[in-house]
Amino acid sequence: MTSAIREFAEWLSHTSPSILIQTHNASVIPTIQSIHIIAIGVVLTSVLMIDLRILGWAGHDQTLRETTDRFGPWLSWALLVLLITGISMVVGEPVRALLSFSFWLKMFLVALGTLIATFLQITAKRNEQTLVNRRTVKSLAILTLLIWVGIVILGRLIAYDYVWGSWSLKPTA
Amino acid sequence: MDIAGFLASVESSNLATAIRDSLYLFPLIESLHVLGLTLVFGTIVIVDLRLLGIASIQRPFTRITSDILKWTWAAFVWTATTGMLMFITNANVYYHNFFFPNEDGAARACGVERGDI
Repeated sequence: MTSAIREFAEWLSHTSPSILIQTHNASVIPTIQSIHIIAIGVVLTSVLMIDLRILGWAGHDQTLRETTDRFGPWLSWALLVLLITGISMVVGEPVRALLSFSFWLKMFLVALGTLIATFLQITAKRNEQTLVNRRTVKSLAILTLLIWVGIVILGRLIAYDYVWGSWSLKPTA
Repeated sequence: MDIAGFLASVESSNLATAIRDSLYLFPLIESLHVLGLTLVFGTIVIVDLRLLGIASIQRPFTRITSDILKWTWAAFVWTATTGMLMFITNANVYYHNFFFPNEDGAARACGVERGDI
């Protein structure tokens, strides 16, 4: 499994899109990274606002439906930007990303966070009255927030994968 | 004490040495710095979109600021604190980094602007 990922990363780094990103201009990767961080700011804040409304800590003058209608589209579009810039960074620096333990843990949390956020949005639209006071939904709101906080932290830790010791696939670890 | 002396004393403080010598503290502080930065940015965007009349236009402006600005300030303090912790580990180099004075100046300008609202 490990060697397959390593081989794939090596192969990807020699493909023309990867070489284009690597050699086109020194500012390409930092620019993509900056857009990625801006998008994660939008995602994290949108999740925060929806979760604060579910928990009853903000947006008292708004129904949950109004809050999800306000922040849901921003969340979805910013997730799309994250996906595009994220894939671009993986293609541009495949070894750095794919051999990093932080990266795979982050991807797992992204899948989980997106799943729970989608569930919360759908539930909010269907059954708002019973939803607001339900303990499980409040727990899910806190969980999603923690997951997205974890995603942001892990994103930065990709640059410091040695912190995971032998769990990192990188040769320098 | 001149600026070079001040930077040298900051850099040799126990706190700066502890962060610099640890394999884990700097990455952790930097990650927490990015976390704070994303929240500062995201919460300011919400307020600014309302000011521009692009989003949440049916909500009174004061409602939005009372919901949001406390998070902006908390995240701002968090980001400034973690930024300072990173700065002291290599104060002299960061001070002379071409980009740092600009970032610092921009952050202070935004802080003043927020305070004025």
